[in-house]
Amino acid sequence: MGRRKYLAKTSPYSYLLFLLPGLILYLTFFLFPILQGVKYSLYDTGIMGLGDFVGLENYKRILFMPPLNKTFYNALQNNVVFFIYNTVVKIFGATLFAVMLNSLRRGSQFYKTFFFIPVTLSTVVVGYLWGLLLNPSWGPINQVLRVLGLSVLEQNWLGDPSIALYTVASVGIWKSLGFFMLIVLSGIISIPEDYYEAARIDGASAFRMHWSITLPLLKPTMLVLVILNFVGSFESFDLIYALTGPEGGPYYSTDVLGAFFYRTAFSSLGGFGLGATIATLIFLIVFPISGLLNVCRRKLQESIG
Amino acid sequence: MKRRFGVVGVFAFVFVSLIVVGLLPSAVIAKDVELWSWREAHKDVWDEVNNQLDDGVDFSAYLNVDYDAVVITSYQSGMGPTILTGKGAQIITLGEAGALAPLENLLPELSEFPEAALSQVSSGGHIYGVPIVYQTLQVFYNKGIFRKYGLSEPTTWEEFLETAEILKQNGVIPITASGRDGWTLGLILAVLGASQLEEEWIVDLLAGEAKFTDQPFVDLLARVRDLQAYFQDGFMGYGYGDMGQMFLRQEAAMRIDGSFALPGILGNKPADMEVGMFLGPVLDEQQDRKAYLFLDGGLGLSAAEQNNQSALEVLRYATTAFFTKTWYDKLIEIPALPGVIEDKSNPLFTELLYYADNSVGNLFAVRSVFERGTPSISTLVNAGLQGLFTGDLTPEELAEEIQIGISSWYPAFK
Repeated sequence: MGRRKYLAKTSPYSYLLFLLPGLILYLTFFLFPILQGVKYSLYDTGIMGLGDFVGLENYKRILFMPPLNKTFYNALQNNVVFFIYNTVVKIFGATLFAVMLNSLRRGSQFYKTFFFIPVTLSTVVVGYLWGLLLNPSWGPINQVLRVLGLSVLEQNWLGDPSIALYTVASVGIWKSLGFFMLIVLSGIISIPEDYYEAARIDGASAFRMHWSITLPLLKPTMLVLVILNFVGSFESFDLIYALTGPEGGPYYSTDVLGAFFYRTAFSSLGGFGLGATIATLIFLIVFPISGLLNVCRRKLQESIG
Repeated sequence: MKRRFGVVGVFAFVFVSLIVVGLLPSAVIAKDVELWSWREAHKDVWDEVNNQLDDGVDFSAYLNVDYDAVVITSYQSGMGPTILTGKGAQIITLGEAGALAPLENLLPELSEFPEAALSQVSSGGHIYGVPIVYQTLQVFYNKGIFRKYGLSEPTTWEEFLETAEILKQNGVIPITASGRDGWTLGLILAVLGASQLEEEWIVDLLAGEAKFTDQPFVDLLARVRDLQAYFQDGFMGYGYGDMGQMFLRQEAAMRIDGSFALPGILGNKPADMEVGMFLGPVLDEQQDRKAYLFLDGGLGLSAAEQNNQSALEVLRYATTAFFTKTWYDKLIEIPALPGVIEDKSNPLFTELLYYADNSVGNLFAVRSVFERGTPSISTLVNAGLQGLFTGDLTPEELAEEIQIGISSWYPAFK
């Protein structure tokens, strides 16, 4: 009787109290910095804070006025190329390794750990190590190619503008493939075994089972990877900084929006407002597109059931 | 019930403790004067200084390429160091922004420094830093390799190319370069430009009466480009460390670098390796070779701490001959305070002192006034020279890019 009286007095909005801590953290560490960044972009923001209000002048400089607009569109293009290359290779590689891992009877734990080790390494360490490995003369990559009689494949991996971006992206793929593989693996494990049983009874080959069952049912998982990759590609900066420097060399061939933001905001001692403008533009590109991809993912999930 | 309160109590205690520790004033834990630099090597100097002073400093070094970012964000959040070791343009920009205190009234001892040094830390009649040391840019060379092929220090551009050609024909890499670290390419431009650009043209450039697209600068870019015939294969994929290793392993005869590299070269070279230096070659033997000399460090005082007596004591000490001698003993760099170091026993240092007396009057590339906007001369030159060497740009196109870039913010060009 006493317990019923207690339940009857509980407010229907008491759940909001439980949301409050998370909401405070979200507002403080997510929404507030974004709004501050937008504010800085509307001022001639310098080292010691807001300067004069300039409205959209910073946006005009970045989007329409040389030389910064040329740098911006070059970096944006590099980001798009980076994303497409990353997505295709990562999804293919992660799916292939996850399928192989799932079919292993023994040693799967070892291989999971093996593939995940690069994920745990710091980006600076990865950049330093691969910078040594990729040296065109004494780097082990080219040396191994020479020893194997494949000198024709030797490249100036980080010094050739036509391949430097793909080289940096490949190092990034090496670092994060293990993480993506585990996500795909968890997606494969969640597929009911009944489907495969039925397919085996019908005489389907392993390839046919993966093509007709595994891949279609993995579509929502893959879309999650695409979203993660999209956000990651457009926020990429640390690996490029470690391998090719803040200018995204050689000659801006590895320059991305993150690197452009960094050197504009910090390297020139007076570009904080412009840097905030670039950061705001990155947000305006990433947020709606990743939101749209997320809506597609939910609809796909619902259609699969 | 009691157990639940116990768990909640533990969490509450930890949470409150974290807040208290986070709010604890740093002065309770550390010294009164926090000093930052971008070179770990400076620690040796400040450890020695701490033995001389009552309070001393808490020294912290940050990575060179991160230093600007760390300094800007810290001053923006009101948490900058008490004393900042700043590069020239950095000191002036922070001073103009109000982050650093004017020192001319706080430190009358600054009058002992030459105008050339003070001008690189001053703006609008205010002095914002105590000058410490100069750096010069030059060509380091392996004396043993030169002797082996009967070569001497070249003075003209023609002699320089002939020297490089002889080395190349004998299977020696004439010049080691680092294309991956673009800032090292900017040093090549500064070294050659200091000797080959006329002083009057540089003055006109700074005043906006000359342009980067003028023929002297375009021709300079073309000569820089032509040097790549004498760099190691694949130099665009080499980093600064790789370049240094190549020189120390005696695979390359020459290396274009700053005097800041000297301690590393002398400390890591093989015992039998002799190192020499020479300035950038001139176009005409009637010209004088000049050093690209810049102030590579000033000590600025945070504007919020201009009444910090311990900090003023440190800065006052930094204006003395004792400090200059300590700095030289530890780092062998050209002091900004003249007449203190007369070390004739170190021939390389004697040569650096000569360079300091025969330097270009006005800076036009790295550490010049063209560093103080977006895009800066360093970004444009470093990336642009990469484009020049990969064939993406001609000298004319690079000059045009630099001119457009600087014109977007430099008042004299607008």
